Amino acid sequence: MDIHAEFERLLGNLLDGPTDSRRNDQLCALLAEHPVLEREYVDYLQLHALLHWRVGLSAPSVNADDHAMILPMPVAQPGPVERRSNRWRAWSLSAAMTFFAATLAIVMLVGESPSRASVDVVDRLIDWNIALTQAESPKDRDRIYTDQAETIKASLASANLRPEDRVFAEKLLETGVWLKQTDDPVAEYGRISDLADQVVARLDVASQTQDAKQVTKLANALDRIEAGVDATFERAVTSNVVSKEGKKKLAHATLGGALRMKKLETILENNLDPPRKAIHRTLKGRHKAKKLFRMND
Amino acid sequence: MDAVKPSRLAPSPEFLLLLTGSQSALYASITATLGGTESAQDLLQETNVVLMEKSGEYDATRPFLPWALAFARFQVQAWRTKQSRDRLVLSDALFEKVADSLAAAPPPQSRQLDALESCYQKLSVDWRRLMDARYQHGEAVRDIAQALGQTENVVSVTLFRIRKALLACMQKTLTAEGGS
Repeated sequence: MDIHAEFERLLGNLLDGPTDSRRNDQLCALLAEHPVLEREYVDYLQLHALLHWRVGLSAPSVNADDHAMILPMPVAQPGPVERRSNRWRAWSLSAAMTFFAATLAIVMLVGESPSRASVDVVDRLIDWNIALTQAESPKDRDRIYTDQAETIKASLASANLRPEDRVFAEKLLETGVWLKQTDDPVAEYGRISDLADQVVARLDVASQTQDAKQVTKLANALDRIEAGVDATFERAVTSNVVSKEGKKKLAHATLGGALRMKKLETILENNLDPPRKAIHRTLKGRHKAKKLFRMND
Repeated sequence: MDAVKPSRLAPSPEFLLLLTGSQSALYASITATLGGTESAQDLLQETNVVLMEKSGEYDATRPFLPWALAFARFQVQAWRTKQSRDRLVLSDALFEKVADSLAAAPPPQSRQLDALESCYQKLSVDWRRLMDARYQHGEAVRDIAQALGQTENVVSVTLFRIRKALLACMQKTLTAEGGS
């Protein structure tokens, strides 16, 4: 038997074929018997991983019916910045849907909606901020700001809010004003990520104190703020960040996003019954990689 | 408000740069020790979180990747203990050997991806289409074979041949860079 040909056959089957414990045993036996093949094994597996990495897919399909694994991807093979963006886009679709499912599940499982009177102004502030992050031009951003700023400020002044909601609302107002004056995609990404971090921290507290209404409210808020995080993230990674400082900020916010998802998973896992745990598992698989990308110096 | 502890979850920007710059290398190494990409992203994320939590212990005078790989190895090891035997590609002994060899000679991080990109663009149009179908569009070998009117075996052999060519090209590129 040609050992090397057999090794390549088994390796090819491992990379492209279905799960097969017999094949795995044969491959292990061959590698144990011929340690010289180990380096090749590592090289091929690493190449396989990098081929996935460069297009942002988790795993190609083994079965013809496995359409869930196929993500819509642009065909072009652009430079580093665009590759990161493509990777993000691929993940964002599924991530957004998964996050929406998780939030919806929290709302359904926790119970009734929160009092509208106390949250309307916070909701409006969130939507206003998100609209500002998604503005297509500085002029558009100006318009969005001007259209709503005074009304929102007046509503906030007269609103009857919990102290912690008021602090958060003031922060949102401050962010809205800041966004109007800013044209720095990386800084915006960091700022909106901070808002999301704050919501996750509050969500953690609310879930620990079994405050179901608060959990519902914050989960809704987080879902929408994450849309802003995604919008600013996309702008940040496509803005061709070259400064070391910009890269640092981007890296910080990016890994912070990964950690936020991790924290959210823990919150879900610690508080949820089996159906929610299933959602947690889905969330885990999707959101993680979304925030991660390669950054070259 | 302090549920996400800043001290644990906010490493220095320098550390974060090292970590983000090592993502593909960590992913590739995890894949090699797993024997495939399934669960690799999960484990990469687990590793990232551990690394960020341990960032204070990192000695900046030492190379980052070998240090990070040790945690990745631990994550994979922990994952393996939770799996049934038939889900594991590598035996315990082989897993240890592969992890040892990765620790001894960690991949050259982002240079690998740059070399891959460069070599990928050198593939013939037909080969690139085949690889795009497999990796970019996630198509199964069976579907590709059907679309091309070829047997699955022919497609599998061709895919392997392309990988072999890519590896040779990448090694040549990296060696040339190393020598320059």
